[in-house]
Amino acid sequence: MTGEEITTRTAVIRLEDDGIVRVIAHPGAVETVEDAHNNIDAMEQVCQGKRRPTLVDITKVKSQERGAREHYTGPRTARFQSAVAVMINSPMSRLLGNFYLGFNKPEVPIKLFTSQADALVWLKGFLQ
Amino acid sequence: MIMDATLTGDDRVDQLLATITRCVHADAGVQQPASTTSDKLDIAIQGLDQLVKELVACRAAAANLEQRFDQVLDVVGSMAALDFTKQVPMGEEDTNFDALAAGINMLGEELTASMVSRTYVHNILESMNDALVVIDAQGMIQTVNRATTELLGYQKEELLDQPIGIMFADMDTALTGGRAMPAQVIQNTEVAFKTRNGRELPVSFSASVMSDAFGEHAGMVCVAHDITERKQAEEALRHSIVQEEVIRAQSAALAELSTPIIPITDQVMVMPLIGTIDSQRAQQVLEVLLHEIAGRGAAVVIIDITGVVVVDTQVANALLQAAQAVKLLGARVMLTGIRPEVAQTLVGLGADLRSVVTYSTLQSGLAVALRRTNGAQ
Repeated sequence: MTGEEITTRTAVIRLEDDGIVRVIAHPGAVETVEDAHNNIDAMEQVCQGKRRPTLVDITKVKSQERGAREHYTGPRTARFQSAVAVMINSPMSRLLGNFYLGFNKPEVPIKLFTSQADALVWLKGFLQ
Repeated sequence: MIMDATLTGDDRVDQLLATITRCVHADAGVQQPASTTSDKLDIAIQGLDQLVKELVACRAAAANLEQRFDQVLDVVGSMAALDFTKQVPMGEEDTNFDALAAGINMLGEELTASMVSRTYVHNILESMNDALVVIDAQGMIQTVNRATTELLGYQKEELLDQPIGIMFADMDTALTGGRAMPAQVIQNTEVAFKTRNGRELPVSFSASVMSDAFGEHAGMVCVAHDITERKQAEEALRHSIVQEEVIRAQSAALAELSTPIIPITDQVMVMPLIGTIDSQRAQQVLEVLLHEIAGRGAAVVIIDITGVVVVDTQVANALLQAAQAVKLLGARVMLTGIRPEVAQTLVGLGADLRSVVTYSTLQSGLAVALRRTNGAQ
């Protein structure tokens, strides 16, 4: 049973049957701090009060404000995320992903993937 | 037809076509093969047109790339000069170059944030009135603030990478226990710093362990507050307390001397007063007088004022009060040593001394007192 799906200005966020949350950025998304706020609200909502592993597909993101990255990796997200797998299949997403490993490291485990299947295998280890 | 006739059989046409075909991009759609020389030349012209287009596009791309490289160089150069306000313009496509541009811009943002934080922290440290010293795990000085260099008289460079011991007057104090650096948290411990010219400075010293990102011991943050003035104030206070005690003891001795009472017999006592009598001394005279009379059970007290310089209303009243109080204890007061000018003053003041027996000299008063008390016995 697929859980609730929320579409924001920059992404589609939903909880899948496997218990893993998908965050898929819209093509050409330019994410501001406000977008990050809205996406975090949506993620928290679909998590339904439980910490869940999250697959974030940023392969189509065009840019992201620094404040947005700070929000995505702030202490609030650790309340409903147990781990984050980031899909990187474009130059920009590879760059963004590396910022999340360095400058904007979240409080939960994070790993970059080019294969969604590998990402899901890794995330399943964080199901609670 | 002329060309065809002229070029017929010329195998250079085939070579030309082959060369152009090789140069034209495979998906550009150059048609071949062609049977006639004319067809071959048409194909060659078509291929050349394509090549021209590709060359133009290539030149435009190269110019664009050159321009973007210039933009990147400009931004990187500004960053090197600590100007993080510039950003590399982003293209519309998600190319490697766009990612490079985005990466430079993002790094600029991160550097801005960290530089702002660094400047902010630097300003705080430099504004502190207390000395701040950061040492590494080996006890070597890594950071000092302005207050430290001012306190110790060193240049910053003279302290950096030196052992913390350079700052202490005594490395074998309880603070370090002989180790290269303090091993525990220290709070407001009084220790002595040693300045560059060897002078010792009392400081209140605090230090706490600093851990790195992995929780490992990375050094210590030390703060020292110069307590020279406090020490001087404490010393001054201690000195003034000692002085006060001396003065108090002297005052007590003086008070005792200023109100001497001499027992002549069990019944007769003499209190010779010398100097100036103010209200405080008058009160003291009264207290001593009553205390001694009560204690000894004397019947007569002779107050001799031969040595009193000035007798005014205040002194006269004090003497009258003393006489009345003594009377209440069942004894009598004799006033002796009244010099002529004192007698004149007392009369002038209108002092009522009727209740007091007076004599001009101590000798005469004493004689009367002894006689009366002997008779009483």
